Amino acid sequence: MGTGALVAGCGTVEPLLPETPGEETGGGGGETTGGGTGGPDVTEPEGPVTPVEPVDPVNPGPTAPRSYKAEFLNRVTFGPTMAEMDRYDAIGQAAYLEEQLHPELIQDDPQITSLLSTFWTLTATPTELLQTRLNEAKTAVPLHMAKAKLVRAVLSRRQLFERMVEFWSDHFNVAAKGYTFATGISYDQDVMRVHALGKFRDLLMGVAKHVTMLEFLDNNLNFWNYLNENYARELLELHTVGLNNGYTHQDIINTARAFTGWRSLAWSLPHAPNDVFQFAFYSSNHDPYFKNVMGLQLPANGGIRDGEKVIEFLSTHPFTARHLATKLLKFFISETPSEAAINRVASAYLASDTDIRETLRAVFSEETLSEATPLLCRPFHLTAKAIRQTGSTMDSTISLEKPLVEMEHMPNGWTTPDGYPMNKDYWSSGILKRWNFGFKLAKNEYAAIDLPLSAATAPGGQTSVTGVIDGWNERYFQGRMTNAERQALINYANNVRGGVAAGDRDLFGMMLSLPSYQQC
Amino acid sequence: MTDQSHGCDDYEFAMRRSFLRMAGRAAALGALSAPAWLPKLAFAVDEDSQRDVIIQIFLRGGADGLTMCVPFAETEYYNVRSTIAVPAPDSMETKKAIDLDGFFGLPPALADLKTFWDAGELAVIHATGFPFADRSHFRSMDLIEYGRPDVVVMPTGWLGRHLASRGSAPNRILGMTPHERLPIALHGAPDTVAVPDIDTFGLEGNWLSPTSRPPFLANVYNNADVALKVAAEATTQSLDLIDQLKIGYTGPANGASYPDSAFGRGMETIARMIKGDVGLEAACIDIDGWDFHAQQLPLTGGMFYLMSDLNAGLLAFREDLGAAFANVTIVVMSEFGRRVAQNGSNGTDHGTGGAMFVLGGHVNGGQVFTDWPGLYSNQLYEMIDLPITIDARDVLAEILQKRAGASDLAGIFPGYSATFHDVVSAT
Repeated sequence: MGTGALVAGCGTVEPLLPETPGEETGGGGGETTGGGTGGPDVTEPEGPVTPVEPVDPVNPGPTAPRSYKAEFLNRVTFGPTMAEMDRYDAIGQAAYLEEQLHPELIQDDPQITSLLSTFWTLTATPTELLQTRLNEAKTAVPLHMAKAKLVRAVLSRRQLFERMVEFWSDHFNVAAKGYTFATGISYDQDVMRVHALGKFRDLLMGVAKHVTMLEFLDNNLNFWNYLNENYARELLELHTVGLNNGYTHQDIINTARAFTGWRSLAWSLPHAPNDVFQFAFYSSNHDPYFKNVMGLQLPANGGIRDGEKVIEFLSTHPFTARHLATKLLKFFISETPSEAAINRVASAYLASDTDIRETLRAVFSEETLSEATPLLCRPFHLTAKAIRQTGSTMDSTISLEKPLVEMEHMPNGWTTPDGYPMNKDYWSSGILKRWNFGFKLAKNEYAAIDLPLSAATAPGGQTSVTGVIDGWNERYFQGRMTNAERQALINYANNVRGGVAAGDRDLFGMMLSLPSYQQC
Repeated sequence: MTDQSHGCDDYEFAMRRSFLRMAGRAAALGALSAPAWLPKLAFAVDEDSQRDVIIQIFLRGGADGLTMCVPFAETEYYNVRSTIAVPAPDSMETKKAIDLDGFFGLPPALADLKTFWDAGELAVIHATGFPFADRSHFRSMDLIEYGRPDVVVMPTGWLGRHLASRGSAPNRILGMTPHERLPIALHGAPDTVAVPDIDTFGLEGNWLSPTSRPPFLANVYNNADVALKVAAEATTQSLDLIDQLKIGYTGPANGASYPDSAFGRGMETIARMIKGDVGLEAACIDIDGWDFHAQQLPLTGGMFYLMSDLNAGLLAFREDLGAAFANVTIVVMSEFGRRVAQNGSNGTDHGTGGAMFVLGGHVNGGQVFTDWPGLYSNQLYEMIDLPITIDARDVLAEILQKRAGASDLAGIFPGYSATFHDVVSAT
């Protein structure tokens, strides 16, 4: 839970983060803190850093609009690079968002293709995956998928698209079960990546008809008179309307009945590998009688349309809109989104007939961004951020996934259908591994990742301790390093590192461990 | 949000605790430079060491209580579980239940727990659960670990609140999990860390200044968001304590042999923490994968393997601890039991009441605690599920008060007044 919840819930709590929220003034932070070496050791500042040109936070006036550059860029991307910050400055926030909402128009980094070309499973045929190279594939597929996701998160210019693939992959989480290790590639490529910015209805339908979900949540075993409720329950609770929102146990049963007969063409091995990948509706397994799902009437003999109608009905249900809006806001904006923001995003979703692009425009509107509070980067995000911001190079042929294994955040590594949690309460107790990631990355101890020394120098060739650290603040923190953090780094440089900052990998590792770097 | 005042209480509780700890830091720093073995001696004479270590073993996914503790005397059990029942002890099958009391039995995969039962170290609570669980895995697990029927602002866990109510205890590790991250049950606990592996727990990197990093980290996280601050504080102060545990460890004691599994390794880690006398009072460990909607196979397949893992891990843990097992209380629990009748896939869908196991040196063992309802549909919750006849909070509260010195049960289980069933003894 964020600190905002405390203030909202109790009303009297003094701010726990006096210098973090609300001080971002679009690049002003570095200037105001740049000359602080002669001052006292500031560890507990009274309040926000004073901007060079004071701005009334309540009524900033038309000439001094509040900038959400840092919040925006840190949520739209896996940590902005200097190129992305320059692009933002050149075209502005609105145009930047539009650009990111149309990844199909963005020429992507050719390095991605070459790094992914080493992953044979991503282009393998069903026969290779399930017959000729089966044993090899079982271990290779999860590694290849994880490494591919990291490579894309680091290098892709379609950052928002990749973040949405991450979001949906958690929302519709699947874990390896039976043959799904193999079909999971298609699930990612043909469902998640096809519909990530499309219509939610199409995404939901794609998931419902993909053999990976049919197998993972046992709909392959859901027959007329031999129901299996697993998929039906999670469709309602996790994928659409949300827990206990407008449905009863009888609705779960009727939903399960609607999806009887939805199966893989071959629902257990051994079968022709191509058949395993194929969705099929078996009408003889389908319950033909009348059903009522949350008020939706399904006449007798509805066939495959029963399930399709349920998908269509649920995707435009107001509870689904609220559920998705809340989750998107928690992912991108704040762990404690306001009712107003939830309503704004949910309305955009419903008004656009479940259009994910329109929904994201509401998520990244100025009004919504004004509620942004610090989010803890999940380990995958932290890994991608540190690699991409430092310009580190990756070797995809060796253990590039190592940091994700160490911090236990491998894509597809979560075994239950709810997906990895998003809240900092969950992730914060893994802090030791997060520190160690930064320490080892800074010292180039990951065989597959090479952090160039230039990452630890300062733009403009600064060599003084404060000059270097303030340069890092701009480049890696978008000016949001707190006074206490900055002073701690300066002290560390002076007292432990002999007054050296430029190119000092030890000090750079300490910088990566700072709370403000661990957050987005 | 309901009941916000309790949410604030939770939070203030944790913060107050945190300030106390900071006040005690100066004293703690002195102890850090003392020889490694000194704190152990200090704890050995500490009256707090009389408290049991409470261990929550959470079977994630909804473990089937009717398999874990089989009501073999119920004819209806065999009617509604035609392909996945555990045969009665007097059946002609080779794989069958082990009789406990003429009515209930253990499945063969849990055979070694019979030795705990015979020694009076195992009690089963049946047709139990948390009345606010609702057949949803995720909501049910959350609420059970919160130990409250509602979601509040800034929630903490039931063990977290218990540990937070302890007095100031610098330079010790009060709570831990052998997983990468703490479960909700331990949220809000001070001096509590995730220790997935003792031997690699520590700051890494080829560093020239090893002693400078912990104080730097403690300092910069002092002003961070409370979740990060608490985690950083517990982690930095645990580094030296855990370093002591790395020295001279030669494996489990008394010939104990842990299963080669995440659970087995985790139980060994918990045992090392207990034997190392770091001041541990609570630990949480999970076994995942109990959601058998299909192919439950309690005698040969999926559920058999999970129960065997649990069985072997518990057996090794008791052997490894030796006499120290007398000061441990283990609770094996799950978010809900499963549907009484099997489904169409040789599995079971989500249900309500289930079974809970309590093991330890001060358990009033050799008994099944239950107000057994029977298994005919008119005896079931909503005609389909085993009902909850004993609120599981009764058992947790009794353990905390009698075995862990808890005095504020109302603060630990808000809005609930526990009834004790004499599952454990206070002496």
